Amino acid sequence: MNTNEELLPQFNLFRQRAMMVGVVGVAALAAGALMSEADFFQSYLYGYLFWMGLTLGCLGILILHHLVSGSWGHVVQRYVESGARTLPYMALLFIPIIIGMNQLYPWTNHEGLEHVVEKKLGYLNVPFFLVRQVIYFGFWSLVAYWLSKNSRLQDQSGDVHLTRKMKIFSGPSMVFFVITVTLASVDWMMSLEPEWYSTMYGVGRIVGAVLTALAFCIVLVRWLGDKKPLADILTTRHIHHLGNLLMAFTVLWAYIAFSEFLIIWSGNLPEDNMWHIRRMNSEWSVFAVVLIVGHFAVPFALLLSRGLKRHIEPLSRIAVGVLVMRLVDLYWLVYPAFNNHELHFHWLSLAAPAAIGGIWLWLFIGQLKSQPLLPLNDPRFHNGMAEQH
Amino acid sequence: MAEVLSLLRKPLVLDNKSYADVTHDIAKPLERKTSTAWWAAFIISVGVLLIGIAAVVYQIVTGVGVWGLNNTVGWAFDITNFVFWIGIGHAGTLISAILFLFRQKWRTSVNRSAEAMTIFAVMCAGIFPIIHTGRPWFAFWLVPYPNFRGPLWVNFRSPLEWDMFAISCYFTISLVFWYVGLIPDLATLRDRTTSTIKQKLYGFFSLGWNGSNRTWHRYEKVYLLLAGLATPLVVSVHTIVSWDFATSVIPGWHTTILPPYFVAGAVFSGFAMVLTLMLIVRKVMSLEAYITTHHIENMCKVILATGGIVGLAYATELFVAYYSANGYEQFAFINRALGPYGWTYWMMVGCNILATQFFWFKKLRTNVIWVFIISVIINVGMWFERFVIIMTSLTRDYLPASWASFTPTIIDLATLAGSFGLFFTLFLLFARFLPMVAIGEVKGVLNYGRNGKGGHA
Amino acid sequence: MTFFVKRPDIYGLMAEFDAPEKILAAAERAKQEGYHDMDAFTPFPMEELTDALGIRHSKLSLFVLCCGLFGMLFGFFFQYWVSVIDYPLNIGGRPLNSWPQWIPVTFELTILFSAFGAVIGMIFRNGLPRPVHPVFNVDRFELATKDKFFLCIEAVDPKFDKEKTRKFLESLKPDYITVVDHVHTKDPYHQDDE
Repeated sequence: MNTNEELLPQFNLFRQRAMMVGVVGVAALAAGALMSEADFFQSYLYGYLFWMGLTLGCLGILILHHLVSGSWGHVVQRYVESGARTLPYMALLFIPIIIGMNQLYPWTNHEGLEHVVEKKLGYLNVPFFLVRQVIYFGFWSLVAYWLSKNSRLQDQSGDVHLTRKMKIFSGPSMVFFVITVTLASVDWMMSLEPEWYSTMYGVGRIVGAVLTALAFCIVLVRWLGDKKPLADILTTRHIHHLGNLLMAFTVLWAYIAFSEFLIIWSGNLPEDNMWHIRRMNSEWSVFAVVLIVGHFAVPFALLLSRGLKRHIEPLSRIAVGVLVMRLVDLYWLVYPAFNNHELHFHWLSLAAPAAIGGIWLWLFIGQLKSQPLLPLNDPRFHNGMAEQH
Repeated sequence: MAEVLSLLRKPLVLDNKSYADVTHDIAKPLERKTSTAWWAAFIISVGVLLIGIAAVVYQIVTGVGVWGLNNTVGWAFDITNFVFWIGIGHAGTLISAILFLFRQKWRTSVNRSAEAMTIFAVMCAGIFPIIHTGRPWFAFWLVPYPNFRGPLWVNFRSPLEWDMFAISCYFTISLVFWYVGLIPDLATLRDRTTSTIKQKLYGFFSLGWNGSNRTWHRYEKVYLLLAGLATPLVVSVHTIVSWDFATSVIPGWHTTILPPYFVAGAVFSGFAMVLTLMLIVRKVMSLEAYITTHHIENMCKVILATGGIVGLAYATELFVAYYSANGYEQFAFINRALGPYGWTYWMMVGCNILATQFFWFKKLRTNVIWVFIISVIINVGMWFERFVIIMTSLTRDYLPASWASFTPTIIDLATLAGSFGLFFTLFLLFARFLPMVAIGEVKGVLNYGRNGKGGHA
Repeated sequence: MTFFVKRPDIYGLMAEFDAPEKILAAAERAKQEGYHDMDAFTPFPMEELTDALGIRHSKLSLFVLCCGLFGMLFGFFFQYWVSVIDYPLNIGGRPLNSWPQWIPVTFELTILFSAFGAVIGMIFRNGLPRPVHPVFNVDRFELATKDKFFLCIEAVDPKFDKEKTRKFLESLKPDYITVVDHVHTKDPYHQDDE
C-alpha cells in the first residue's frame, strides 16, 4: 500500500521549490565562479560539506537504528533511508571539488611545501585520494541501498527474517562506517591544513554529522507528524526520545570540541596548536564564542526542560537553531584554513549551501515520496509502538 | 522460528515468579547460615588483603624505593592499577544510570551488584594515588582548605588536582546513588527479618520507609535526577583520568582522542568485570531466574560495542601517528608494538580486540562458560592496556638520555594483589548482608514480556 | 495536638489488595468519590498510581537546578579567586586566568551540588527518616514491602466518615479493611492515658 498519496501534492510542491532554489543557486555559483575561482571552490566545498554531513549523519542513524532498534528509530527510518540514498548523487556533486583540488588542498602542489607535509605525500596524493573517494562512496551507497532495499522487501512480504539479516549486516557496517568517515574527514577537511593533525578530528565530524541529521529529522517530524500516516502512531514518547537524543549529541559535540581544545591548549606544542591559534587568537574567535553560546549553552539549557523536549513545536525550533549552528561550526572549521587571521565572508558562501541544498532536498523528497513513510511490516515496529511506559 | 521470536520481547524474570517469590529468592540467601564456600572465599580474600596491607605498610615505613619505579618511570605500577580500577567501576554507573535513562529494563537484575562493584573498585583505585604520593599522611594537602601558611592553595591547573575532585565526587555520588536504591529493599528486609538486631539495623538505615506513593513518587524523581547527573559524571571521571595523560606533552599520551577512548575502555573493562562476578554470583546464589542468558547476552553486546570503539581508537592512533609525519609520535607507536614492552602491546591487542570478536556470535554470547573465560581475558587485557600506555611512553620519551626500564618488585605485585583482596573482601561482605538484586525494581518489571505486556513501572 | 480542629480519633481506614491492577482501580474510584487525603502503599513504584491518587508532581528538579548552578558558579569563581587573586603563580607560562583548565573542577562541583540537592531534597520533602508512622500499626502492613498493596483514606479528609468510608472501601472488594490508629495508642508511655 502506498500511504503517501495524500501527501504527494505537498511533496511535489516542495520539490518544485527546492529545484527552483537549486537552479537559481547554481546560476549564482556559475556567475561567482567566473568572478573569483578561489571563492567559488571554497564556498562550494563548504556548502557540499554541510549537506554531505547531513547525508552521512542519515546513514549513521540508519545503521544505528538497525542495530539498536528503538521505537524512535522507526519514526525516522524512512527519512534517514531517503537521506542516505542521495549518496550516489552526492558522489557526482563531489566532482567540482576534484576539479578545484589544487586550489583547495595545498598538498596537491608539490612545490614550496613544508618539510613535514612532504613526508605525508605517500598518503596525500591525488591518485590515492581519488581511489579513496571511490571506496568511500561505493561502500556508503552499498550500505544505504542494501538496507533500504531489504526494508522495502519487508514492507511487501512482512518477512521477519529480514530484520535479523539487516541487524547482522549493520554490525560490521558500523565499524567500516566509522573508519571511512574518519578517513574522509581527514581527506576533505583536515588536509586543508596538511601540517596539522588530531586524533579526535574524525570523531568530532561524525558527531557533528549525526547531530545535523537528527535536527533535520526533528524538523521533518514537525512537518509530517500531524499528517497521515505518522499522525496515527506518533506519541509524546517518540518526541521525547528524539529530544533526548538531540540533547545527548549537543553535549557530545561540546565534549569532543572542548576535550580536543583543552588537550592541545595544555600541551601547547608548536606542531599541533596552530589550528586553534588560527581560530581562536584571531578575528575568528568571534565564531568560537558564538559556538559556545549558540551551539552548546543555549540548546543545552533549553533541552534540559522536559516540557520543551516533549512537544514537537518548541523542539523543532531548537532543531532549526541547531542546524543554523551546524552551518556556523562548519564555516569556522573550513574558512580559517584559507584565511589565516582575518574574518572572511563572500556572498558565495551563502549561495553554495543554498544551491547544493536545493538539489539535495529535491533528491531527498524524490526518494521519500517513492516509499511508504513507515516501515509497517517490521516486527519490531509494532513491538515498539505497543510499549507504553 | 526461535531466532525470529528472539527479536521480540522476552520476559526479564523467568519461571513465572510472583512478587513474594522475588522477595523470598533474594532475601533468603541473607538469612541462611553462612556457607562454608563463603567462608573459604572470605578467608582467602582477607588473606590476600593482608598481604597487600603488609606490602603497603612496609612501603610506607621504608619509602617508595621498595617499588620498581625510578625517576623516569615515575607512574609505573601504581597509576596503572589506579586507572585499571577506576575503569572497572564505570560499568556499575553505566548500568545503573545510563541504562536507566535509556529505559533498558533488563538492568534491574544486575544494577545493585554492579553499583556495589563500582564503589569497591573506586575504593581500590583511590588507594593507589594516595600511597603513590609517598607520604600518604599528607594526602589531605590535595584538598583546597583555608590555612594559615599565608596564601597557599592547590594548583587548579593540574590534572592530578582535577582527579582528586573527580574521584572523590564520583565516590560520593556512587555511594549516595547506591544507598538511595537500597532504601526500599532495606525496608523489605526490615519487615521480613526475625532477628531483633537486624531489624534495628535495617530499620535504622531504611529511614522508616513505608512504600507510600508520595514517597515513591519523589523517590523515582530523585532516582531519575541522580541517573541524569551520574551519566555525565561517569564520563567526566575517566575523561579527567585521560587528561592526566593527554594534557602532558609525552608522545603516545598527548593525543586528542584519549578522552572518548578511555571512557569506552573503562566501560568495556567494567562490563567484563560485571560479567565475571555475575556469572559466579548467579550460580552460587541460584539467581538464574533473575540474571538470565538474556542479561548476559546484552552485556556481551555492550562489550562488543565498547570493544569496537577501543579498537577503532587504537587504529586511529596508529593512522594519525603515521599521518602526523612527526618522528616522536611515530617512534612512540613503533616502540609500543616492537620495543622492549612489545609483548604487552600484543597481549593488549589480543585480549581486547581479538578475544572480543567472538561476541559477534550469538552461540558464544549465550554460552556461560565461554563468556566467563572471555570476560576474564578482557580484564587482563585492559590491565595491560594501561600498563602499555604508561610504560612504553615513560621508558622512551624525547631524550634518549632519560630512557629507562621498569620491572615490578615483589612489593608492587603484592600491592596489586592486595587491591584484589580488598575488592573481593568487600564484595563478599556485600553479598552476605545486602540484597544482591534490587527487589523493588525487579518487582516493577516482573510482568515485562509476560503475555506480551509491558512492565508496571 | 491542634487547637483549631478536633483531631479525628483514628488516623484512617486501610484496605488491602493483592494485585497492582486492583489498587489502581480502587484509587481511581476513591478519587472519583471525592477523597483527597489518601495514600497508597506498594512494594514497588507505580507511576500510574500517582495520577490516580491526584498527587501533585514534584518540583524537585527546579531545586536541583538551582543547587547545580550554585555549584557551578562557586566552583569556577573559587578557582578564579585562588589562582588569579589570592595566590597568583606562574605555572608553565600559562595565563593566570587559565579558564580552560578550570572547567573540569567546575563541572565536578556542579554535579556534586546537584546530587546533594536532589538527595537531601528528597529525604527532607519525604519527611524521612520517620521510623514511627500510624500505618505501621496495621498488623499486615509489613506485607506492603513484599507483595500486598494498601490504600489508606485518612480521617482528616473532609469527606471521611468512619461508616460511609468503610462501606465505600468494602465496595472496592479488598482482602481486608483495617482501622488505622494514631501512633500514640501503641506507645507504651501513653497507654495509661487511654
